[in-house]
Amino acid sequence: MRRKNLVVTVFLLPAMALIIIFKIYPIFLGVYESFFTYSFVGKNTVFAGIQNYITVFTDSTVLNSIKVTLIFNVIVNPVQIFLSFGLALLLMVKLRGRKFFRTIHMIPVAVSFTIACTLWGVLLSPEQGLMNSLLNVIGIPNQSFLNDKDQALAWVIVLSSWKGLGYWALFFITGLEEVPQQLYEAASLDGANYWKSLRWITLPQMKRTFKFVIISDTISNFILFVPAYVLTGGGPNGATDFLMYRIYRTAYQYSDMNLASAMIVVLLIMLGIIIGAEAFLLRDKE
Amino acid sequence: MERKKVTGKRAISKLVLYALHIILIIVVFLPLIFAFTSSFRPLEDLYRYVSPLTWKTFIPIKVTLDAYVSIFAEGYGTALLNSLFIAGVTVALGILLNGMAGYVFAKYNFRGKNILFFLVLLSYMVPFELLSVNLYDLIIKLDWVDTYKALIIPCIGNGMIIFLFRQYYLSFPDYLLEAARIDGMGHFAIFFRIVLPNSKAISISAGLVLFVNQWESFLWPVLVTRSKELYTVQLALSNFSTQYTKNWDQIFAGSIIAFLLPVAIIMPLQRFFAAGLTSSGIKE
Amino acid sequence: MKKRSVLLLTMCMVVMTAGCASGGSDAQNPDNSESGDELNVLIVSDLDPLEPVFAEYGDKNGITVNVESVPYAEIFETIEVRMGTEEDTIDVLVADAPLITNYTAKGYLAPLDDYVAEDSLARITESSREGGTVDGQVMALPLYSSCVNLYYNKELFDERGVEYPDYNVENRMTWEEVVETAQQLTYTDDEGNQIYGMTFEQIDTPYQLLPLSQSLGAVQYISDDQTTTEGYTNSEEVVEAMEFYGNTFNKWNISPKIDGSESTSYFCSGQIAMFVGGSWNISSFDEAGVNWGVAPHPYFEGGDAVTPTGSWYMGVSAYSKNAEAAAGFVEWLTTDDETCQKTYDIMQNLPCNISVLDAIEADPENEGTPAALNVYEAMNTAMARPGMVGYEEWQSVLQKTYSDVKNGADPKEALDSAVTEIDSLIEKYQK
Repeated sequence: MRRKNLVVTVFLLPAMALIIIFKIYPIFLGVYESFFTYSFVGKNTVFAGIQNYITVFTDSTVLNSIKVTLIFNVIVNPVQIFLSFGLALLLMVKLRGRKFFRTIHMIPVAVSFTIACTLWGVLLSPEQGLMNSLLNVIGIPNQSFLNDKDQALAWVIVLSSWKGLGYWALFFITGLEEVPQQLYEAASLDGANYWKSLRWITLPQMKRTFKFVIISDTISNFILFVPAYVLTGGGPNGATDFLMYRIYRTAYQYSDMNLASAMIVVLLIMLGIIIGAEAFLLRDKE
Repeated sequence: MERKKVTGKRAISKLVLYALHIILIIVVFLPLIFAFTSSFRPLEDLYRYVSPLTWKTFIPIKVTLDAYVSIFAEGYGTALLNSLFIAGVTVALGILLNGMAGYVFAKYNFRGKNILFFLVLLSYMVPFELLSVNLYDLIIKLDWVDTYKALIIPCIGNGMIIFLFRQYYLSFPDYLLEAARIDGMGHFAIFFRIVLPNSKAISISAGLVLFVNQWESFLWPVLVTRSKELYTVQLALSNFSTQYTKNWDQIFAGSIIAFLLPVAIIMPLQRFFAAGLTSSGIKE
Repeated sequence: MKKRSVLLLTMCMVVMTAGCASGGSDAQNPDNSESGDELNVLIVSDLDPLEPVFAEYGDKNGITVNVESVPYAEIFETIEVRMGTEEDTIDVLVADAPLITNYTAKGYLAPLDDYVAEDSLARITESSREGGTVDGQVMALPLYSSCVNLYYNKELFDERGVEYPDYNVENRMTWEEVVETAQQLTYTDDEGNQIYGMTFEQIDTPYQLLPLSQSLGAVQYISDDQTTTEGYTNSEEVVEAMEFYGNTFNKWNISPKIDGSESTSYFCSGQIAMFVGGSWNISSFDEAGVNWGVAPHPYFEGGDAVTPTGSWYMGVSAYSKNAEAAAGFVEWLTTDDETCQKTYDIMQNLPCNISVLDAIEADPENEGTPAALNVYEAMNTAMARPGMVGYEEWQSVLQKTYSDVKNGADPKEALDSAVTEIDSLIEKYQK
């Protein structure tokens, strides 16, 4: 028993200590700060109660950011999970050149998000972007893409999926490689085709991987702000004004750390509820 | 007769799969192709051939390596080595420490487990950029400013990686651990001799996440470094833009190297993916 | 078994320590230095070429000047975080002209009045001195200034048989004439490339676009008590200027809907006939082999000629333990005649020092060049961006608004909603 406790402590301590010192402690400081405000008149920080939270829920631009974030996530998460699982299945098929194909899909993973956004910005340039040149070839006139308030969010979804599919597919591939081959052999003896095996063997075996990917993908899309930061500035007309981007601006551009902290807390609570629901739906029933 | 039909069907489905692959490859390369050709163009030609679409759009007419030469003259090489070192150390320690934690979360029961695991999840719900202010304060107090420590240590503990390992180890066959225990192996020996060697594929995925996180980070290095000797790749890249101008040829050339290098590192690691638990035949 | 875990932990420690030891940067860490005769200067990397000038001051005065340079993309966040933690490792910092008021309100800057001699202040232009003054106190001094001209591509003008714009300020083009000329220069060339009549360099930025409304007579963008922009930032003049801006993209189609970072490349590759931008682009034009000419910044018919101005200032950190030495350095760097001449020789940006300005004007070699034109503009037409505490909020909302109008939003509606957003953002400065 004592040996077990020692194991738990020694194995857990380094990682947990790092996480608590460098991640959790700053988060809790932020929660604390969200109840204060800086007074420019008195040049000091004063207790503000829930004033910052009232601002979060009454400011129409913040509410718009919350709305945009939710709409984005409702679309982008299912799309990315469905497509990246599809990509993983495709990359599992034994074809000549499979290693080459897998490597290709690692390229967007290695492109940093900032660079990816810059490159997509050039591609989607409304004037002389390659995309418009391609569309012209098939007879479609120039589009504004990210400058069009009805298209901008859709293109952010496209470019973040371009960046994300290979990444999430990687975890699916790792999971798929672990599904015992014997199960498939047994199933094929029973006459099950590919789709039946997928439904009755692969999916149940992949549940834990799915749980990881679904929760991680939700988190990373909730806190995504680089496309807005690099490309759209939150526009046009607030169409891509993600909550996280507004938080970033509130903190660094509008120098209101306290309000930003309150917004982070609201974001964390929203995120907590959503991934809590996801975890519950995908819980291990044993 | 029957057999012929099957092979015919297979050939068609193979054709469909290859077609699908080709479409996907085009999609992957679409945003990259312009950067790639542009990095070999002289500055004044950058936008000249984008529209209308001709062969000139994709093939530089005047080829020059100026952009590549100039970025290395400006210290891009140092930045690459720095980032490689920082990312390398983070990956090595990150896999080990987060892997150990994930293993304990999966295979041991202890008091406070749920609370600790909640903290693990919480820790990755807030991006690094937004912890910067409070974290920076901490780094000053620790007197770590302008050291590799400040760039590496805060990034090692990673909730997502712990979660990844936990999910993986949940499915790790208990009978294997039991057998080792009967053989008289201790807890530590089991982890280092049985568990870890059978976690190659998952460790590579974890390593990739850690690597990419470090490779991408841009605000944190600016805050905690002072000297140019500690410049990272993303910093060097943003240095190709000034207030008024962006040196697009340099940005493109720098970006190409910044993503081809990690891909070159990942490529040889591919073979481990097919060599997980299954092929060693120890899965239940 | 225990031994192994200890070994492991020690290993981790060793790797970590090795990591920082191999940095070798501790030696340069200003914190570790014993000597008090040091100045830590935070600059934006655009100013890197000035490092020899900084070092010269150190050599002369037996002081070590440590320069830290941060890329433009991250400089503002860096200042926020590092000044926000009130650390004393920055003595001197750069400040973008319109942010000086904000930094003052946040207590980042130390007033310079007690340190800087009157004579020194008299050596720089009045408008640039005012740009660094908040509530009667000198908070920062200008490194140099900036100006915008109309650059044009002679080949494109020749091809369409259009007369070049005149260099003489007496014959300054009106915006109405610019539109007319630009329409003749917007066409598809033989190879099928779209050529545009004109573009602003820094598309969507108040820096470049304020002179439009200022030329129409707008002088104030926020109420005197700094509480509201309603009626100021959406005044008739601003709306009219905004309509003009939108029309260049959506009605006359003379400007490409691109991003500020692409405009120079477009002009360099011969796709734009007239480029309203700064002289800092000249080296790019020459490198690309553009046969360019220069003319004064346009104005609206019946309005005033107004040009943008202002660039980087240098200030002393309020948390510096070495404020006096720091102020001495700033004074020397920004006002000394010889230093300013050197800065001009290196950066070629419009100086604020009167003797350097005079020298440029007097030099016959500068006749007909942007340099001489800019001296004239600096002395006669330059109009600073509004100094306000909430400049950053104001500028970022306005920038979005410009961008929305570029993409077809109604100017009046866009400005009205911008004003509401700005007012709610700057409310905090009254608390």
